[in-house]
Amino acid sequence: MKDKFVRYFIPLLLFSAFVSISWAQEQALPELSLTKVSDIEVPQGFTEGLKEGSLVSTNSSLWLVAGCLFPLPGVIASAAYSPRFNPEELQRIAEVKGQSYALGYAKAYETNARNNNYQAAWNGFGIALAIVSILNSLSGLAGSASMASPDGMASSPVPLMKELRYDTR
Amino acid sequence: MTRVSLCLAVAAILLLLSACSQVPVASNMVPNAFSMYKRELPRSISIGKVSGNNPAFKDDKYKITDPTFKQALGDALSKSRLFQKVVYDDLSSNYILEAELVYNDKKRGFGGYPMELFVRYSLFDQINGGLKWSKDIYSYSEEGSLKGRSEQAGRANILRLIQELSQLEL
Repeated sequence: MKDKFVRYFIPLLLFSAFVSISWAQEQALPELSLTKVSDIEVPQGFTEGLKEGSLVSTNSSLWLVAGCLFPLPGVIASAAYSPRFNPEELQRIAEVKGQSYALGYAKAYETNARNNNYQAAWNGFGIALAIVSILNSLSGLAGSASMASPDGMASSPVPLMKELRYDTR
Repeated sequence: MTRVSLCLAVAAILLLLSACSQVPVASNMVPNAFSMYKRELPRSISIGKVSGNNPAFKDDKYKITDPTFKQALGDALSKSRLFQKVVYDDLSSNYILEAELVYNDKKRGFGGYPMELFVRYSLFDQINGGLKWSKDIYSYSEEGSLKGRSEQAGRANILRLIQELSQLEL
């Protein structure tokens, strides 16, 4: 029994360990191709531009209104539209801080602006949905209250108007 | 409660649950295997300050936060066995590694834009003093959900960091 164990099980164990290590390396190593190493260029490198461009606040109030007024088209348009950084401003930044800084700055700004627009449109969508559901609930409540009262039908404005119309005749 | 209100409540709960599941996890950012030139350096390394995305000011759930990245860095360095000892915030260790999450974002909406991660690493020599090594490492991911992309970008970034560290004369 011991001989069989040594003869079959241990080689099998070693082989499976080798296969699993190779498999893990195969899994991990392709991820190295997704990376790039660069020297730090302070204070005017691409990364510095990214860092500062991502801190700029963008105005997305129009997209909130668009999401409120036209919920679905507003969200679709915000997902499709890519805002562009002002070229004149970009040129000015490039002259002062260098081309790579300006590229990083514009990239971060544009991503930030697009994400904020998208989020604002969804917020508008949510507000529109909330308003519709509140109005729906209120009309439902009003309807059930008038049905619940014993003279609900008599006190409703429609018969009253009919009576008024009858009286004026 | 009307049917519409009930539907809204269910939708809100589902949204909350989906938001919770979007948070990147440290264990998914630890590589399974490493590509290194050396192992078992007779030195200790401490994971120092990790900054850039404070969870208190975090606006997007899918972004990697400082504590999560710090945990992932420590776990990955331990697992790689590049250094003999890996600790956190210990000033008596041979080296201190600091990281700054400079940028972690993706254009949302239509279009297959990748999740991008820029991390600035600095390795300080505690014994001889001074900055030993400093680089920006960029990584990206184009597959999976926002959470999955963030995790893959983080994992690739850490994998590259460990490979770079293993090339240093320490």
